[in-house]
Amino acid sequence: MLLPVLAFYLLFCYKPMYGALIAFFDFTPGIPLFDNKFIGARNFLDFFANRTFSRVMRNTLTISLATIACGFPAPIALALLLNELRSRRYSRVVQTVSYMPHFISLVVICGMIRDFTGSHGVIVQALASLGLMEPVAMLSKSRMFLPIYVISDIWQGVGYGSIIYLAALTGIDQEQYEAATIDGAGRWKQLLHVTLPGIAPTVMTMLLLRLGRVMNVGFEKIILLYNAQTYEVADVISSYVYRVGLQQFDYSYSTAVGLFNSAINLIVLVLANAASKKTTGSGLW
Amino acid sequence: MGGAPQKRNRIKNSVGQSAFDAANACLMFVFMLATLYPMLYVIFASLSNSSELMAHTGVLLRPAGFSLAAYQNVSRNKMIPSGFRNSIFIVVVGTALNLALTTVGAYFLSRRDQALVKPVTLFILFTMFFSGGMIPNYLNIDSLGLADSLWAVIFPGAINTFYLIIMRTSFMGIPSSLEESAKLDGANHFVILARIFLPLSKAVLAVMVLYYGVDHWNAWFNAMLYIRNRDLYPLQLTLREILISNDMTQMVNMAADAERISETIKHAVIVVVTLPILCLYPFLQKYFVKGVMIGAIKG
Amino acid sequence: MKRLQQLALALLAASVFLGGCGGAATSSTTAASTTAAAATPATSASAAPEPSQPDASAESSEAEPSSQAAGEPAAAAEDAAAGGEIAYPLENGPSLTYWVQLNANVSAGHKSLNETRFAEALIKQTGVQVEFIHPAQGQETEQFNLMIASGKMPDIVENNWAQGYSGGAENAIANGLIVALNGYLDSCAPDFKKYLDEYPVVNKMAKTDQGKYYGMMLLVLDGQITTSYGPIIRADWLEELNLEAPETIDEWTAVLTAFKERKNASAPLALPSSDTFANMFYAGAFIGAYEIGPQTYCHDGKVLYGPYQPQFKDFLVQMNSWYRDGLLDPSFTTNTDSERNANILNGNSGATLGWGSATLDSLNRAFADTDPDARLIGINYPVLNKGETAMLGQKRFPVDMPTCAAVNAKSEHIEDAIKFLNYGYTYAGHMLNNFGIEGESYNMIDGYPTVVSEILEPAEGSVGQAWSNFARAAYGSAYRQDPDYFAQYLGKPVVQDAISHWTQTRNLDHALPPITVDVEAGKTYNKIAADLDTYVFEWAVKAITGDVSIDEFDTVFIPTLEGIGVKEALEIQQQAYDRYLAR
Repeated sequence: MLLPVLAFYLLFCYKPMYGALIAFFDFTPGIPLFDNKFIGARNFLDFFANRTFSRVMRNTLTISLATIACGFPAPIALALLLNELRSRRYSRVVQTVSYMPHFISLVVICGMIRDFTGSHGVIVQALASLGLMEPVAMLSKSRMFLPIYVISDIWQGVGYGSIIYLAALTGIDQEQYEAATIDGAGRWKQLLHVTLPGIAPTVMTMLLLRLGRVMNVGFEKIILLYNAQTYEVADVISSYVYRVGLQQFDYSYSTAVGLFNSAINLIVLVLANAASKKTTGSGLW
Repeated sequence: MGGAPQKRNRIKNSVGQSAFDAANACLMFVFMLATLYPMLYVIFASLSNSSELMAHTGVLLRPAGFSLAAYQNVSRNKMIPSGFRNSIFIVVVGTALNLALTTVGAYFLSRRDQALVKPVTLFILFTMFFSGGMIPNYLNIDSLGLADSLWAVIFPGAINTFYLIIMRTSFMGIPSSLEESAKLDGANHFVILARIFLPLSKAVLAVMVLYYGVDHWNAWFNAMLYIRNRDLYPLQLTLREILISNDMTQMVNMAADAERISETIKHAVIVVVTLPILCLYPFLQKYFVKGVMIGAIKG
Repeated sequence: MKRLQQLALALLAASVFLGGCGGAATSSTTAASTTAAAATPATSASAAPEPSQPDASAESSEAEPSSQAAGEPAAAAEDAAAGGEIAYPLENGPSLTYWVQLNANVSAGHKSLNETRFAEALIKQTGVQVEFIHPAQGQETEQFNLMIASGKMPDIVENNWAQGYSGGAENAIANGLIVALNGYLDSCAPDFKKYLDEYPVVNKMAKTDQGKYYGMMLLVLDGQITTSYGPIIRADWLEELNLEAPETIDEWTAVLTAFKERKNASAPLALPSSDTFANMFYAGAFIGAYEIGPQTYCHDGKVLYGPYQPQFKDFLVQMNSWYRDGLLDPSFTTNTDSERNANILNGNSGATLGWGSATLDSLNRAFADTDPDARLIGINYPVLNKGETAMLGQKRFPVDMPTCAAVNAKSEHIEDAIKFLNYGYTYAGHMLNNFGIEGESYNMIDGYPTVVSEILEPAEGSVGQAWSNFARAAYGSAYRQDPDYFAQYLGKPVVQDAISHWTQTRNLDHALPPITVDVEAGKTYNKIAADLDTYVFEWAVKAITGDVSIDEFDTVFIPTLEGIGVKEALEIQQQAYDRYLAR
């Protein structure tokens, strides 16, 4: 009964990994892999020697860690706050509204971000009228890129991300709350001693999975938001791979950079899992 | 989510807690406004007069000069009806396949007693963090003969490993005593999965339907890679085409002087593509909440 | 559960079957790579450049009598009608697939070109059952590359083969992708060949360095249809402030200052949205005043890189002072075109760069609704000293590279495909591509193809959209673009007037023609060029906004360019240019 699942992984995940061998060849599309010239690790060395290397590494880590630091706790906080709302109907309305941004595609979201933070945008006009900034586009300031990226990320994902935690919250045994109440625990104490431990396994799993993708910052949003003044802080590995692979057609080189990215992910994940096992006793495997 | 706090609140209700409740309610209200306004802006913009919208800056509290021209223009676009058909097919068939495979996979991975579980878990987890990359994926789909069909979009996403792990975690929470008694009655794995695990996992199943369904609805990149026949374009790819061909940067690259699609049409297409799933959502959510509640009571 | 089992079986069966042929499939694509090269040498003698033609032969395209705009279509096309060497519709015409970008004018009302009246007429007139296949709009380069990677090409592929494929058309032919036309020109493409014989510049651009003809392109042979981009300014403000249209950079400074101080413009000069430095000052506007281009350009047979020239510093100093004084839009790096348009319509900006129809005319039409007194006009590209002619400006080459239709070397119908493409250069094909179907989309009135009013004043949609149902004139393909199309399509006096200003440049002496870098050097070149583009864009913008000091131009900027490999890149380009000149 497991066979279709394994077949899926073999066909659609492992077979392309074999195809990724083009990273080690001077690959020309249309020519069979092994008829291409073998170039070993040259593509990787080229990447390390490139002046963009340190920049995309630094930016990938900065953006990713900032997104995790701010974006990971946000849905948990929202789920807890929703859980504390007294009116069930109100809670449901807030939830419904909060999921909506997730249904909007990224192209649209980025268009909206640019509209709103542009020189005539709502946010800029509001801040300017308070005397907090000049009425110029926020994305033309390199220091504004990271906050805009992270905040919009939270805006779009917080409601949707909270679903998993809300589901976990419903899984907590009600008897525990009743027992705590009888012991005289207030809501704060209940939160600390019943709710948080109740959702801890889910939180831990989600965190580990997230850490394993620490090097994955999607190229689409970056490409839609960056400009000459923010390259320095915005260019990441995936946007570089996209530029090199699909726009400059250097398949081998772009695949090599992608492989490097994957390798780092794997290392981070193994380390995080080991740390998790050591501290909490549970890990992904 | 709802039932539990009320039970607790009846017992104890101090001033501090009322203050917290009020603050919390207000906070959630502000949160809602911040979420809703950008979407309202798009709707207003789509109903605006094209020239007045171009000249407008800042907050829109109502359409700038009411006009339905953008929607009339969108209604002439022949890609929209077929896009709806394709997107709905992908969502329905894709999600059904997702559920079947994910449930089976999660069931197996949640077994603690089988020797194969650990290697298989590693085998599956590995793919989440290590992938061949875009070009090898493309060549693979092409060599499988799936290119230029909706299956090229459905099959490669048949399992989302992330969701599989979520489901596995949920299955692991089901008491093993239930399963053991069933085994004593001679039930095989299929029976255990269908009779014991699935009824107990309605909440998670509802979440899965939502996750997978929305992912399918919003996906465009694979369709861009694999589908050439324009009759098979999903809605999001059409949306993207319209948004992008409105971008002058592209036009400069083409070095040609061509008529542009107006801003209002851009916004109207966004509304047409996004509104159906937003309208559908409250109905979905009813079942979704019910599913979560059932899960909560049983759990 | 039964369904699950079936699925499992299906998936497994698929995996065994496909896994098996995965290996075999990879080897099946090679065979053709060697055959194409053998097919070509037959006519290489005729492909040698004619020594009598001077290098500035590009000018000859201008010399072509465009005054007969009211009269007949091209002479070559007429000969074809008389000669009729190939009889259309073709007998036993095959079914052909044809990969081509889908123009937004078509997609506004049609799913694909197949649905247009044009396609219907084309099939009837050529006898070829053509099926158009389109890449997703906005993803054309990506999808082209993926198609090449998959090894499955339609019979005809329209793309920029000279520059859009690594190593150019020469390499595409060597790799067995597309067919060299040399051996087929006389037998299958006599009407196209007439243009090659008649216009030396077409002959030069339409072949590779080694003299291989590789495809058929849009021919833009008449001066007034080659240009449609340039500086745009508020004419009513100029009149109100008693100012002349600015010609020199200093006059621009004065005009922009007046706009700022007396018209309260917060961003007097707005720039179009751009993803590269070259697009920011597209066509060399402003930067051309300093006798350099925004990227590579040529001067006396030498390839030069604008940002690597000392004048680039002067340009940056000027832009920086405009930025500091608030004459340049403070959000010029992030503004989208819609924000730029909003700035103009609100009176925040009084000047910009843009297209005749898409910018100038469409903004003027929007002004009619919001501010009827406002009026935009097109003016000359700026220069440094009064009386000079601008060095650069937008101008299409007589051979339009992005629309090059080449034939798949593995096609089963190579000859028929070439004959099919040749149709665009016959008289009948010329009329169909430009004006559509006689009696439906146009009527011949006194020998002038007069497009019907239903198209020129459509009930819904734009002129371009209505026109595109019947003809491909609003964009391009393998045919010659007719000036009469242009006169009727973009015939507004304000656009015509703008174009008369925008064409006053020395562009042809300095624009780098479509040269081809060879395969090996190409990989190096692409990497260097990409790095250069990114770095120049970033540094130049920072220098303009004052985020870095322009004093670092000699100490940091130039050394970094050299570190990236600007000299090597120029060397590669120079070789390609020399080969081009030697064609």
